[in-house]
Parts: sequence; structure tokens; C-alpha cells
Amino acid sequence: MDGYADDPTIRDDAVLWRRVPVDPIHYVFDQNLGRVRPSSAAFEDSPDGTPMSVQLAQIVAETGRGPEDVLVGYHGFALAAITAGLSRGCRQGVARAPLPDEPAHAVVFGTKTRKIRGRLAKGSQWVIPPSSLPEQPAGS
Amino acid sequence: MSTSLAGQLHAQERISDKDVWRQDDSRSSPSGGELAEKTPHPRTWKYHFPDGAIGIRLRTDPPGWLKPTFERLGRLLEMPANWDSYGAVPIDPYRVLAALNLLVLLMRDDTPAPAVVPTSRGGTQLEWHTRGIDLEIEALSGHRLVVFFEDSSSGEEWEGQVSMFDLGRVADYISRLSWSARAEGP
Amino acid sequence: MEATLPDFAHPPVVEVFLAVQYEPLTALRTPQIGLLWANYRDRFPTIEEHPPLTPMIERFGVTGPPRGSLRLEPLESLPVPRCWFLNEAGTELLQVQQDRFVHNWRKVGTGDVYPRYEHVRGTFEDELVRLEDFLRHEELGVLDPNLCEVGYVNHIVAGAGWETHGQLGEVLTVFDAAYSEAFLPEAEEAYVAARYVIPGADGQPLGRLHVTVDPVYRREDNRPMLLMTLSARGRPDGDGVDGVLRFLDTGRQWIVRGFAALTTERMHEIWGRCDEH
Repeated sequence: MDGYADDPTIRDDAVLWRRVPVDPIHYVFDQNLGRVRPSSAAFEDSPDGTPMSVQLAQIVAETGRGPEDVLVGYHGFALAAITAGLSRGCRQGVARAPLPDEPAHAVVFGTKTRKIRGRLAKGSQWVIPPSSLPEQPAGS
Repeated sequence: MSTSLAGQLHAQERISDKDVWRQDDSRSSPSGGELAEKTPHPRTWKYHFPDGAIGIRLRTDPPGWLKPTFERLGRLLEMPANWDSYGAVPIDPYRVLAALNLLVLLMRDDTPAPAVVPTSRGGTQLEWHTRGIDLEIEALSGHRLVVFFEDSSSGEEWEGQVSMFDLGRVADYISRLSWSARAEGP
Repeated sequence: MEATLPDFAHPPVVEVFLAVQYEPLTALRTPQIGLLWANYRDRFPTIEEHPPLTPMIERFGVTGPPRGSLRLEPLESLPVPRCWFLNEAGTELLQVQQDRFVHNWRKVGTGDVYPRYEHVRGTFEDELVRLEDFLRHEELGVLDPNLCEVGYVNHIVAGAGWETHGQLGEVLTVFDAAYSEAFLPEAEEAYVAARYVIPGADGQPLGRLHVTVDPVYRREDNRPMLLMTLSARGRPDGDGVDGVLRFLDTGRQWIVRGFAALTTERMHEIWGRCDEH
């Protein structure tokens, strides 16, 4: 993607965090997997065309913060994790993109087909899960 | 000799009807009176959101999935900009209408209710993840859908755009979801 | 293909319309339609307001009984109207609303002659392009067509080839009162509705030809008449205005050939059929 190059210093096992809204519900009960997971819609690029924002868990830790700190100011959000390796396996690149108020900011860039978004969603794990199960049966 | 195509209004745009008149309508369908008594009264629901309302009018008894899905879809229209904290735009009511329309057209009474999630570009995504099938449908506009289908039992997979003009593929996927549900039993 | 189309010296057509439906242009509101009129006013100096038309629907791949209908109600108490821009003679008009653009030709006086499809199509194309330019200039959105329709309205007046509404078989080839038993008298009236699938070059449905024949009476003198309406409705056959026109051309062929196939040779003589067939 224009302006971004995959950063080999970000190891495949590097953990990337992504905020997932709880209201509106952006997660589903996947009966095939037998668990609640983020919807594939939680792994899109931004509407303005910029690639998907994530936070590098290692950098967050290096700045003396934890998962709960990342959600300060984001009431009603859960936190999901994917790995850089999962992203690269879905033909995405991972690049650091620190912001003035968030040194851990990074982007996962590349064409995100529905299949790829689904792979990211299914391969994710909760860091801070939604506080309750989805009210809807979620397609089961 | 007359094939009733009631509901297939065509040529709405014509303007010359004022030049003609029709015999007073005693020529309703042969069993119109009886049918009218047996047909349930249409039922209407409305969901009000900040800029208007979506209404649905049903001729049949509402299936179990309808009311909660209708309310979830309506709720999406209350979301402000940046609802996902990553710059998401408000949900487009025409895309919600398209999603609802799709469900009313294709869902059977035994089709599992979909999960309903918004997308960052203002769309509405319907999802099913059950019995080895992953089906996701997003209304890109009032008339265009993007579909992802995967069946782990057969290995079949498809992703692409379809028009509301021809819903054959989507109808097939949704019916397989229902068929799968029936085949497995309670 | 054009050279082989049925042609009539005195066709019973009283109205032809070409229409395109597109994704709603929510920024095209009443004041903007007023601005748009400035682009048409020299040729279409009269403006009228009418309620908007409901969305066109044409669908394939869906079976089962219709379940219901949905609608979107905007918060504003008044919907954006459908505006008519009429020429001085009242024989041609443009209809514009947030999701539809239509061009109609109609017969107003007995002396009005059908100007032929090429003329109506040319006006439709010119004015649709003008609408596109306006939308671009005013930043009101982009036309995203999803359905097109071409229609021919025919007034088949009694007294030439038939006299009463029950003699539908004198006009239509598909209506044959060949009863299996001699019991029923001539029908007081009969009406017909049919539809045919128009295939695309790729084998997928492109649209449908809809035909209705209604027994009516001419308002001016109460003469029995058959109102025969043929319309072809379907998806654009390609992108942009060209895709719209491609479908309309195909639809028009289906209408003209369908009209000839559905009507009797006796009526063809009365209408002065003049192509080689």
C-alpha cells in the first residue's frame, strides 16, 4: 500500500491490539468455533482509506501501560488481539506509525477481502472481552 | 384468460391515462371477497431514528427472526460518526433498508436469525456462522450487495458483488443455511 | 437489426417513455431541482409538481409468496416532489425526482405524429447527460443507475377491425375464444397481462417485457378502446449512460417485435405495416 512497507523488526509473534465496539455490537457468537469473537467488520481499513489501525502490545508495555490503559476514554469497548504473523499470512504488511499521543500505534495494510477480514477475526483472541455475551443469537 | 400480476406495477411513468376511463371495478378477482376475509390484516411496524423512520408492512404472520432483527437494524441508525473510534461514518438508512428488504425476500421461517453488525463505511452486514457455513452479506447500496460464502464441509467458497436485481445465488446460500439447519435436526 | 424491425405507417401509439432509476440523490432537493430547471427551461418552459413515484422493482431468483413491503420515511413532513418540465406544446416532458429521470413523448392533438424512437431516445440521452453535468457541477452526487424502463402506450380504438371489448381475439393473437363447449356468450370484456424474460448476452436475465391489455373507454367520446401497454424493464447493460441506453435499445426491440407478434395481421393491415416480413 502507498507509503507503507512491512517492518521486519516487528516479529511474527508480535501482538497487535484492536478496539472492538460493544455498542453497537461488533462481535458475534460463532457456532462453528464455539465461541464469541469479533465480527470480520471489526478488521476493516478506515473509511478515509487509511489502513487498519492497531497498537503494538510490546510498545504499550514498554511505556508502562496495560490493556485497561489502552481503553481509557473508550468506554464500552472490548480489546482483541491478532499477531503480526497472522496478518502477514493474510497477505498484509505491518508497519509502525507512532502518533504524538500513542507511540504504540501501527497499521496493518493491504487489500482486505471479506475472506481476509474473516481470517483475522477468527484468528483473534480477546484481551479484554465484551462484558456480556451478545444479546442476539448471532446467526446460530 | 387473465393472469393477475397484481403488485407488478409497470409503466408507472406514463402520463396518458387521463384520456381514458375504466368500467367501475366490479370485476375484482373471482374469489376476492372470500380471500379478503381469510387474508390476515397487514401488520405494520415502525422504527424511529433521528432522521426519520423505517416501516415494514407484512401480509403474513411475522416469523420469529423479524422483530428483533428489525430493531437491531433500526438501532444502527442511531449511531453517531466515529462510533468505532477509528473514523466510522454514520450508517446509511438506504443500506439498512436494503438489508431488511433482502431478509424479507429470502428468509424462510426456519432460517436462523442473522447477526447484524455495522461497517465503518456506513453499511450493514448480516452474518451467519453455523453448521460449518460462514455467510456474510453487506448492502453496499440500495441495490448492490457484497457476499462471502464458505462451507467447510464441501470446501465451497465464493466472494463477490451481486445486484438486488438477481438474488439467485444469495437465495441459494440462504436456503442451504436453512436446509443444513433442518438436516441436523433439533 | 434495425432494418428488420416491424414498422407501421399509423401505429396506435399515444405515448412513449424512457426512464432510468438510480441510487437516491439525497442532496437533490426541491431548491436544487429548481436550479436544474434553468438548464432545461428554454426547451421545457413549464414546470409542474407531482408526488414522487415509488421505486421500480424487477427481480430474479426469488421464489415464494410476497411477504410484505418496506419503506423509508424521512423526518421532513414533505417528500421531495417529482417535477415535470414540459415543452410548449405539452407533447414532451422530463420527469425528475431524487431517484428517477424520465422522458415522455405523448400525443396531445389528433395531428400529433409519433416522432419515432430515435428522436425520443436522442432527447433522453441529451437531457440525461445534462443532468449528469449539473450534478457534477453542483456536487450533488453521481448517477448510479440500477434499473431502466422503456414503455409504449397504445390506444386501439373500436371501429377498425373490432367493435366490442369481447372481440379481443380480433386484436390479439394470444386471445382465442375457442371454447371447448358452446355455452358462454361473447365476453363482456377481457383483459390480458403477460410478461416475458429478456435474456442478456451472458445468458443471465437482462430484464422483462411486461404487457397489459385493458378494456377502457375513450374519454372524449366514450368509444370502446383497448389500452395496450408494453414496457421493458431491466438492469443497465454496462456502465454509465451508455449502459442505460443499451438496455433501452434492447427493450425497445422487444416491445416492437412483441407488439407485432401479439397483434393480428388484420390489425397490422389497418395500421399500415410497411416493413418486409
